Amino acid sequence: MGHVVTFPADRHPEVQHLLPWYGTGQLAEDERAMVEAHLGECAECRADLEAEPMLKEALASASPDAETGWAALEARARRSMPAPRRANRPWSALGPRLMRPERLKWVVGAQFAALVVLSVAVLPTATSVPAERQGAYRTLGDAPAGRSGNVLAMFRPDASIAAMRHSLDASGARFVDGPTPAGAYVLDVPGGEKGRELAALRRDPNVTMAEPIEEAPPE
Amino acid sequence: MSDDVLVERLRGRDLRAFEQLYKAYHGRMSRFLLNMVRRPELVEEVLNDTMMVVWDKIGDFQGASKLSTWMFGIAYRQGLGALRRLDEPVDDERSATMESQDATPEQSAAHGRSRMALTKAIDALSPAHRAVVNLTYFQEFGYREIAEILDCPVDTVKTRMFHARRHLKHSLAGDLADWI
Repeated sequence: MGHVVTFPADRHPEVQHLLPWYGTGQLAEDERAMVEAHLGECAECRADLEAEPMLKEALASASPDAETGWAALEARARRSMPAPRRANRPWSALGPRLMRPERLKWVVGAQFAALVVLSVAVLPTATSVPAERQGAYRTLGDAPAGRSGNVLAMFRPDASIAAMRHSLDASGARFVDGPTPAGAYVLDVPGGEKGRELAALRRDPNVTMAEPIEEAPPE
Repeated sequence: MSDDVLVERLRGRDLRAFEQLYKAYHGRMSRFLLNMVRRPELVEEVLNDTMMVVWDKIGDFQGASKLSTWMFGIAYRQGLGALRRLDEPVDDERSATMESQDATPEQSAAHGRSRMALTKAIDALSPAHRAVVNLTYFQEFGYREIAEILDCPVDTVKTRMFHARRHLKHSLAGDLADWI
């Protein structure tokens, strides 16, 4: 009469805790064998296993939007990188922290030396150009000189063109560039970083983000 | 380039190797941190802080674990530090007992099983639970590696994952097939 009956439920709690890693193929061989043996006799665990990929997919789709995340990062990246050609290189954000002072003085020294050499080589040529040839030529297609943006903004995805125009009119802002790959626009906002215009833009329900862009230092 | 070669070059203060490491990990680590701290504006800062610790402490890396395990451990601690600075609870166990606060299946169905409900359910998890979910599903670490990353017992990892799944499935109104 001392017959021992092994119930399928014996391994159930343990398998329930291991299922996610069975699904991703991250279990050791003995654990995998144990889970498979239990799956053969437990409908509940089989159903849970079948639901794993769907849960993962649902989680991926409900994770924070990468585009929104990038827009916020892009605004910071632009502020921390004065030179426009470096604006899309997050790697460059680490640069200043890696630049050792002892290296910096050599870099600055080399740049100064290069400037001296260039000025000696180029200056006589430049000053010999007749005055009448130095006039500024501009075609009708030229971009207006000196027009640069000072704010990076994003609008609600469902905002219409008319709504965007209304937002700009209300704050006195003008489009300068965009959309960026992340869907952001560079705007020229009067009043700058602390102006009422930027505050008005931020309050606008059609505007999801409006961050000032730091001006590039003089070359 | 193998991890061993990369680590050797990092130990030699090879900036090119560091750039390569940064670019290789930028995507998956940003996603991990975004999932954990849920604040897009924090991610770059925490990521850069993490990478600077890797750069400065690579001499401490003994190779007992994979380089990625070591790096995610640093990222996890940096993420917790950022949340603490914001006075956010970082390691509570509310997920284990939060079921009664959830919407019932009927309520969830009434709300059209919106993705917003799932986002809310994810937000309701503690950062520690979210980290386990992310490391399991999206970084494909085993539970032993996750225990190493989070510096906790393996049973804690299993229990967190179990409760997180139960909570999230509950928020999907028990009808995953219809959700997708």
